[in-house]
Amino acid sequence: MSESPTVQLVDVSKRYGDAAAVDHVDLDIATGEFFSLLGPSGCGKTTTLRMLAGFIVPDEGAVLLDGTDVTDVPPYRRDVNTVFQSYALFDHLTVADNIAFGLKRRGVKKQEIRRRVGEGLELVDLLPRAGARVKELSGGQCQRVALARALVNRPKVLLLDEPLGALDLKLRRQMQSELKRIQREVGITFVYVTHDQEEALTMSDRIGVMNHGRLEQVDAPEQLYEAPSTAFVAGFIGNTNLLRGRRSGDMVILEGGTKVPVGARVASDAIDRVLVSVRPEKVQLGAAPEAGDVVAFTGRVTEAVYLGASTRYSVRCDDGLLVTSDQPHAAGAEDRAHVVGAPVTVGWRPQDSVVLADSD
Amino acid sequence: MLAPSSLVLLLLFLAPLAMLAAYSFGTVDVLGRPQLGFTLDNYEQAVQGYNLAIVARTVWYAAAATAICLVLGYTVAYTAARFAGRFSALLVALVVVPWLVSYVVRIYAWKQLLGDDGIVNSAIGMFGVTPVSWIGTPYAVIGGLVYSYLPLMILPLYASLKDMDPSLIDAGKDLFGTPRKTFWFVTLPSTRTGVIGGCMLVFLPALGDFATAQFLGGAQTTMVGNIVADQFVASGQQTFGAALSMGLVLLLVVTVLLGSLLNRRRRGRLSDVVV
Amino acid sequence: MGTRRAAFDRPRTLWGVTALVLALLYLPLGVVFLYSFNSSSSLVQFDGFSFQWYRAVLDNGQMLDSLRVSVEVAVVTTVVSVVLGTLLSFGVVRGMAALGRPVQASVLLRVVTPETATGVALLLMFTQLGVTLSRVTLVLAHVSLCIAFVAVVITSRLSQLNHEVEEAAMDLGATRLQSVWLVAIPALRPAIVSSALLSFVLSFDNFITSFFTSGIGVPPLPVRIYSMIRYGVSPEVNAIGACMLVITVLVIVLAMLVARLGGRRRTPDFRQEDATIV
Repeated sequence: MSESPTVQLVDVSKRYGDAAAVDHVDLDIATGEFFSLLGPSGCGKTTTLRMLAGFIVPDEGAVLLDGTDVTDVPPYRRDVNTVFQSYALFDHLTVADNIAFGLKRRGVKKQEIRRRVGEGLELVDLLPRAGARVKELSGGQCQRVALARALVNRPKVLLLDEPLGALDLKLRRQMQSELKRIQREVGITFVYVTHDQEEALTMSDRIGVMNHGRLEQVDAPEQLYEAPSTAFVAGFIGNTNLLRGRRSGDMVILEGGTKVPVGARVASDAIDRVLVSVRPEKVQLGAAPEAGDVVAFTGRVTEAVYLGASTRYSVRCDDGLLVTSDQPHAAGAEDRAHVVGAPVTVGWRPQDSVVLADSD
Repeated sequence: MLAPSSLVLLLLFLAPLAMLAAYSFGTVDVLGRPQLGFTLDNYEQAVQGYNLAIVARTVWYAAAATAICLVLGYTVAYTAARFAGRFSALLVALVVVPWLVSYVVRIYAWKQLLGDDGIVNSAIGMFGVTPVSWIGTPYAVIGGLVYSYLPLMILPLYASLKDMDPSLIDAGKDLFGTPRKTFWFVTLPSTRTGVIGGCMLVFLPALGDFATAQFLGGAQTTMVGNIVADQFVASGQQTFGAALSMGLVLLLVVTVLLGSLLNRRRRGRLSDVVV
Repeated sequence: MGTRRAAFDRPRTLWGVTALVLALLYLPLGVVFLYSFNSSSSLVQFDGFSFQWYRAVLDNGQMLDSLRVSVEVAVVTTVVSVVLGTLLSFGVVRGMAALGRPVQASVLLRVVTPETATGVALLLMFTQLGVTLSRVTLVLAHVSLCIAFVAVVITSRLSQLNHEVEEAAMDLGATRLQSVWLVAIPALRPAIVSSALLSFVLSFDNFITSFFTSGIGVPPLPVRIYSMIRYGVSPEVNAIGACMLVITVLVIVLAMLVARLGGRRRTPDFRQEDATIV
């Protein structure tokens, strides 16, 4: 990422009354990157996107496109296009006229408009529907028109505001891979807003996780999952066991009194209040204590939930801790089922745990 | 964008009303021209026995017409919204079309129908009923008001019935409500805004109406609007007419406040649940 | 009780009342229409088909003058009200909220204030300001009425219109003004057409406001009819009433046709060879 970033947010803030919608956000997005802003509703991700589009002017800070300050440039003069959550298609125009709208506003020559609209239709596989009215299209087709309408302008950055939110699960999956394909084909930087962690994980090169107007962590999907830097990120992306305790040298003393060794991943220097995060699929279950570098507790199974590919066990440890473990139904693992009430040993490798600050 | 249109509203609606209010405290000179001043004479005149009776009659006619419109209008709107299927919009359009025909033509039509030797009398005459002198009765005036303003009742009722989630009715029945109870406790309350809106749209113009009473009524059915019109068009006393008009505006304000109060009534009180 | 209980759920009773209401609504109009073709002046007996009352109307120069006044006033009122009412709606829905609320409140107040009160108020203002009542005062009075109805219709539609559509236009390079002209106005077209219709009909058929503000010149048609029927029913009124009915219905049908036809525009088909894949 040595070349200058396409998008730069420099210490950007936006307040509504007393509440900070976006709170001192710094962010660089590289050229050609598929970047996602992920977070729960009200976390400030849409506000951030709208500041990139130019619909909202930040109270503080600057928005840079290709190194140029565009903070006060209105949306119609920014080299950025948006795919809206509601698609916002123009009902009174045909599919082709919708796609041509931006090109016409810029005074592109007729012949060129025709060519590029054709290209756009081809890209989203809608050539036969060029003359159709928007009302005649299905949800998935509307989505493609919105995408083509933005892309034919060849923006520096394409902004997508939860574009798949209105589609059903199957169509959403299909559109996810199609979006990824299109992004590779056109090579334009995508900034994608979503609250769906799975969607963000499958499509993005990097993800910025937002909460309460702040960027909690910006990293590649794998990093976010394996090495979350805050408890919020650990809990928002995937499931995790968050065990309270306090730090004592290389060990963490958990609330029940049990000591567990600290692995390589320590995201916080906090001493008094820390959290140990372990993913359920990293928690091993056995009939007897295992040897080696595995931290182990004994306890009893309190609940077993069948999830198809795996079973989720809740285990109440002897010291009072509640630990969740996912056991895959791998081939040959059929006889390893545990019944509720049965005594078990739970454990994990220290390197599979992360030590985080306990902020609340 | 607001400026030019707001100016129109200000100069052609609020300013004249303000002038009307000002002159309602005024006097007339020897030539009958209104003069500004401060006297309550016009209002005193308005609440004198004879005039007060007319005000009361006006409110009574308008209220009666509103009640009849509500019953008929709810039935039509309910039928259109729930049972007319894809013809529901057409049915509503059919109701609105007569309203688009000029008001004077509509009144004229009734005058013709209800006249002493009109079609109604000759129709009932065929069944051996003695002809009735309809014109001049309160029935004719109230009926005329109902006819004039019924579509204004149906439109908001239809809109709120269409907005209502039909599964509410199923839910009402599911919770052991008979159709009648479901109607009274589910359908009617959830279309309350439509009921209030429709009643205001009928009651308010009916209050100010004067041609209906003039053509379908007689000496015993005069309404406030007739007296107001007389003051301004015939050689009347304009300041008195202004005071009576302010009385109409006052009734309007009371009605609107009452309407919005009913609309905003707090829901979920214990008494609502217990009943 | 057993039969009443089911009434709300039994369409037959409801349809019965509905049919009765419709019959009552149309009966007087049917009578006007039918007797406008009566060959005698009877209002009870239909004595044969004739155009004599229409001929009487056509021969009546005063009646035609009034018709012309009514049409002119309605057209001018409609144009002015639709333009101003649309602007007002944009101001209220998309503009400053601080000024929008009181403006919206006065619009609604205008709609529900009895025309008798507003009519005499306008008359009083015009006479006190020394303005002679004329076609101009008539138009002003009608605009004051119609602008409120236009604003109600367009405001409700505009607030339903997804604001993202205008943002999308700006995102695609349209200026604020272009986004209104190219996207919002076309999306509002049905509402604009119906508010224009409503304006025309309200103005053309208006009696109460016109009665107070038309002065001594040629009165608009409804006021003319009013003064005719003051002296009793006349078969000629049936003919002119039927004409007004036809004009009103024609305007509605015409506007609906315009709305439907105007919406269709052809776009060229795109074929495979138009797309040159990068």
